[in-house]
Order: sequence, then C-alpha cells, then structure tokens
Amino acid sequence: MTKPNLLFTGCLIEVNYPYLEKLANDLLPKIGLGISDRIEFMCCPEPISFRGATDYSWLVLAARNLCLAEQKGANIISLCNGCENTLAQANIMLQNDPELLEKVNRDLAEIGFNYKGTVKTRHFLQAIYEEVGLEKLKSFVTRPLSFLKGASHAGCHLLNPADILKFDDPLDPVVLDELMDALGIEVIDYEGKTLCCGVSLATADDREGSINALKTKLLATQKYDADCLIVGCPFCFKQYDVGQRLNRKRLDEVEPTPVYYYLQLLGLAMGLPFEETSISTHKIKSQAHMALFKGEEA
Amino acid sequence: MVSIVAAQQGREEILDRLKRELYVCFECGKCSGSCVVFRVKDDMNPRLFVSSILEASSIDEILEDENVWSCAICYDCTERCDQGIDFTHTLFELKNLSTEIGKQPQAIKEELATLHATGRTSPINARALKKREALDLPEIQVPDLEAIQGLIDRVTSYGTSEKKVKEE
Repeated sequence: MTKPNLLFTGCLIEVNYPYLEKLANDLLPKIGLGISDRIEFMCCPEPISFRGATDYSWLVLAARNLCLAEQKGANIISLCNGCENTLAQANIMLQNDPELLEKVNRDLAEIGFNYKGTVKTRHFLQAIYEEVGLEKLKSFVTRPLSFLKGASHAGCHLLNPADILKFDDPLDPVVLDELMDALGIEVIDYEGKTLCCGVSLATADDREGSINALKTKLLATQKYDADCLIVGCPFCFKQYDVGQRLNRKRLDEVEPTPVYYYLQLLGLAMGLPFEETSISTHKIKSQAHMALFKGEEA
Repeated sequence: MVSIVAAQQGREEILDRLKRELYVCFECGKCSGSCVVFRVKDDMNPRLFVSSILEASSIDEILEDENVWSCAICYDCTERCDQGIDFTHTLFELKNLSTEIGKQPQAIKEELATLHATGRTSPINARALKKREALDLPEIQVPDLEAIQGLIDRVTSYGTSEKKVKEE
C-alpha cells in the first residue's frame, strides 16, 4: 500500500508565500501526488543558521517533525530546499546510526515521541520527477510555455549533499531543466548553474556577500539570454525577487530578471488562470510574460 | 558524510581531530575554485582557511576568523575534494563552537531567539493570516510550544553554560 503524503510547507511559504502552499495543495493531486490534510509541523529546523549554531538540537527537532509524519503513517513532500535538506539529512543520519537514533529517542521520550525511521522525505520536484515522471507530466500540459527562455536554479541545498538528497548531479544538474522542458519552456543551459543565490550569507549578517552572489548569478543568466529564473525553493525565490528590488541600485549592470517558482508555471501550463498563480504580486515583473501568461498576444 | 558534532570532546581534542581530518589536504585549491562565496568575497578562501586551521594553536584562535560564518553551506567544496575532506562539516563544527562562546553573528542570535519563542523562523503576523484567509488556507498553529521549548532548552548548546548533552 502506498503511504499518504503530508505537505511540509515550511515557515517562509506559510507566512510570506501562502499562495505556493495553495498551488501545491491544488496541483499535486491533479498530477497523481495525493496530499493529506495539513498537520502542524514546526520549523524543519533551518539547516544553515540553526544547524550552524547548534547541530544536535537541529537533529532532535527535525526528528520530532519526522515523528509527526510517522505517527500518521505518512511520507513527506517538502516545498523548500532548506526543509528538504534538513529532513533528508536528519532522516538518513537517524536511519543509518542506531546509536544516534537511540540517543535522540531518549531526548524525544521526554515529550512523548519516538522515531522508528520509517518516513521517506522528498522535495516536490523530486516527487514529480520520480513518481509522476516526465512522460506523464507532459500529458497534463495543455498550454506549453514555449515563449519562456528559462534558466534553472535548482539551488545548493537541494543538490547537496548529493549522496543523501539523491536529487541530481550537483556539479551539472539537469533534473529541473527536464521538468521545465516538459512544460514546453526553452531551457537555457548556462555557465554558473550551480552558483548560490546568496541568501544564506544574508542570514549570517553578510549583506555585501549576499548582494555580490546575487549579482554574479544574474549576470551569468543574462550572458546566456535567459529571460527568467526558475526555482523550487522559496528562499532562492525571495533572494531573486525581493533581493533584486531591494538592491536595484547595486545591480545596475543587470537586467531585472523575473523569477518563477516551478509550481506557478506548472499551473499555467495546465491551464490554471493567471490570477491564481499570484505572479502579479512578485516584486520583479515582466509585462511581456504576464500578457502571455494571460493568453494575450504580446 | 555527515556526523553530529562530537559534543563529548574537549577543545584540544577537537583541534587535534580537525587537524587529522584536514592533514590530507594537498592544497590543490579545488575547494576555493568551487566556493560560491570566494567568488564574491576575497578573504573567504577555503584552501587558505584549511591551512590556517592546520597551523592554529587553539580552537579560539580559529574562531577569531569571522569567515567561520561565511560558508553558504553549498557543499561544493566537499563534493569536489579529491582527498575526501568534508570542509562544510568542519565549518559546521566551528560554527557550533563559535555559538557556544557567544560569537555568532547578531542575525543568528535573533533567529535562535525567534525559533525558541515561536517554533518558527518566520513568525506569524497579521498580514500573513489575512493572506491565508483570502486563499482559504487553514490557520497556522504550533502545537505544544511549551514542550518544544523544553526540548530545545534541554538539548541545546547555545545560551547556557550547562550542556546537558555533554554531561551524559
């Protein structure tokens, strides 16, 4: 029997981009990935700063989230690279190290939890790629987005560590490209695909480094004539969208480049009305794209 | 390879172990060539960072280097190291040690406090609730916040001098 899937939405989407949670709930079941009713997870917890500060509490709190899914006999589909990175790493550590699992369970016992190690976690792009598959995915596309020249940005924390996340080749990733191609998008292969968006530098107070990373990335995509970035992570999304708006003056050599979260484009390709994608709420907008998304002639 | 920071070790033992782990570095520089931060920040040079750890006489001396917190944790250096050095993990350890002595950046302090107070990193606000309501999404609640806080306090190594984990 296949286990039900619980959506691990993550703090940032729940608060800043709830429309992405809505899109996941609406779209994933339509392509064959059933989603159970929402349950309350806490922060994954965040794999960069929080784990940086305190590795063991990071593991115990992640284990608590995994327990909540295990209690429901469910697997997890996550909507954020950071959440997936935490949950997948913690899960593999606990599944492969009985001594560590026992130690964590001793701490979890204090709040009445116990983890057996039966949960499988996947990022939504991974679930689509592996479980739906490219061929079946194409069969849902009624409106190919062939006017987009998209540069994929899978993001550091979905690619690495590759032996645990098992998503793609971290040095030459192609999975997101193939998923974009399935929607009819023209895929731009570019040097710098694996460059970081820079958001994790900002979270450690290094704003300068963060802006420079953003600029380096945008110049790379611009050089290859991409007209948008496509991501599967709300943190990368925020860095590209809000980051470009906030740092406009520092990015004067860069064409403003809109960024889309994969599910928004999946929705449009499946015939979802433009309004339901919330693309009009983005900080960096392309009027030409929006007209085409609405089905108007540009 | 990942492993939890060896919380049971003392600082001298940790320094010895870090040096043993990094000793195989032959300074090829692939880590620096692949570092997404080095591209945008000249003084974050992983190859030189490894050398400085090998030459350090104490953990505290290493923690003086603010680039301990510059790693974006993209794992590219780890992925590409021909000698199998997991430098990303080395930096995780150093960040943990830095936090233990209260040297973490202000933004990290704030994030830890927010997570402790709310169970989240993006706190719920009125605007978010309004947006969610308009989308017909359920309210967000964090159940058992007290239990979560108790758990964090018991296992955590930041903000307290008593480290329960280490006492075991």
